[in-house]
Amino acid sequence: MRTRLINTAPAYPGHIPLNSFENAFLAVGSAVMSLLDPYRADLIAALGETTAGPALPRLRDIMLASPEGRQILKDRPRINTKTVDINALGQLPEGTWGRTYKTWLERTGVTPDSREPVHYVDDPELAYVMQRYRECHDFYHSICNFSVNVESELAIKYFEFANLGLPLAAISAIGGPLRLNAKKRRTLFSEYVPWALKYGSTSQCLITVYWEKRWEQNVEDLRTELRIRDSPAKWSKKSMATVASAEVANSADSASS
Amino acid sequence: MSLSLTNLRRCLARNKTFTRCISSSSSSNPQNKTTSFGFQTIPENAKESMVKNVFDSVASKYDLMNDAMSMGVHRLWKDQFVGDLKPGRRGPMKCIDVAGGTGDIALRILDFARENYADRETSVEVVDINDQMLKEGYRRFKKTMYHNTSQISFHEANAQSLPVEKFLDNSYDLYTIAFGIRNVTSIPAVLEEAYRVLKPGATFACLEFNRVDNPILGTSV
Repeated sequence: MRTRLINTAPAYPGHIPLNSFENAFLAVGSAVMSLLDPYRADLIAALGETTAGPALPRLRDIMLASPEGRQILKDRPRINTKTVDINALGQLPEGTWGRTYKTWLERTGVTPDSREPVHYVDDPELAYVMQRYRECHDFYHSICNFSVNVESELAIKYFEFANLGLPLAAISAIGGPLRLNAKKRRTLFSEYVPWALKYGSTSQCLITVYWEKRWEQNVEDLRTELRIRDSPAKWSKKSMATVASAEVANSADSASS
Repeated sequence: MSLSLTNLRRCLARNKTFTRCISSSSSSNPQNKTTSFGFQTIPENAKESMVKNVFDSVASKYDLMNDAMSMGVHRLWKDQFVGDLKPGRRGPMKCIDVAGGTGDIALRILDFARENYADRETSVEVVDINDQMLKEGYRRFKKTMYHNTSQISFHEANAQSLPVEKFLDNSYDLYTIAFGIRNVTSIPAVLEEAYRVLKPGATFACLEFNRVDNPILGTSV
């Protein structure tokens, strides 16, 4: 297999080939460091890539088995502010998936530009699958209606593990709660995790969803199609205020244009 | 000499129609379309018969010829090729091995599936344009456990136009062509047929020689 060949030429821009010792070392190192500092997104990314193993070919096969997934593999769409017109999403009618996503971006203050590119996966197609997973992570938050605080992130990690089977999701799910206080941990394990595991395992595999083609679809219809219902997430009053002021700004924009 | 090479490259770059070719007479005459045959350039409609002549004469000694020309290394290439594909990993597959003549790849596919996944349902249909090569393949398979089973079958057909009644649309999980695509007259036609017979999401695998970057290994003898 591939371990017999020592190929140090990069297979795609940004590729950093590693041998098995380097891979293992980086996996352990990034696991330890991301536990100590969960805001190091680049280390969490490295952990995900070094521990992916057979999960990525499995996801690629799942994509190949569905027509929508095949289209994604053919087009290889990327998600960042250059490819997605965020302002246009804000003009869509209330209740559409695009509008819901835009509202979610405003409430959480997240931008789709912050995703680290993939470096440590050797096969270019599997590297794209990993990249697609990373860029769609926010969509999973939004479609499940979760915020970005720590317990919501962990709930989404449990959901992702049940839905996609990535080892990174399992590692975060086990290591993450160690950093929570008792009250948040109680919310996580009594409400969020049972929901996440139940709906994660029964809903459609989200890696096959071509989100960019569904902006105009009604979000509740989309949720029913994907079999995601009854999200237990709670949003803080501060984030609701952000939504209210953003909506005023949106209507002012559309009134003046 | 260099002028004709440039023309050849430009001709080969246009897939279906050649507007400017080596001879200076009218360009719509099919006699003037050329294609490559090893290191020669020959008229397109002559390629099929020239290839047939070559394979008719070497069929009985084809494997010996391969061993001699590559010093046995072709076995490693074919092992690696089939090993990367991992036939049988996700269940029994229906495979078609085109230009498969003596059945090297077919045998490796069946053995891999059997040894690694205990799979005796995977089937391979060996397709070749040359009946002598198919006879040789049939003879070799008599020495294996797949003879007289539904796992192996031999068909004489042209890879550029596989008969629609026998090779149905969207019916194969794996299409392999090893050291065969250089022998066809029109590669796009072969790819069209491969696209037709493969299921959506299935695998197309081509093993072929290419330029080698290492300067010592890359010099052609």
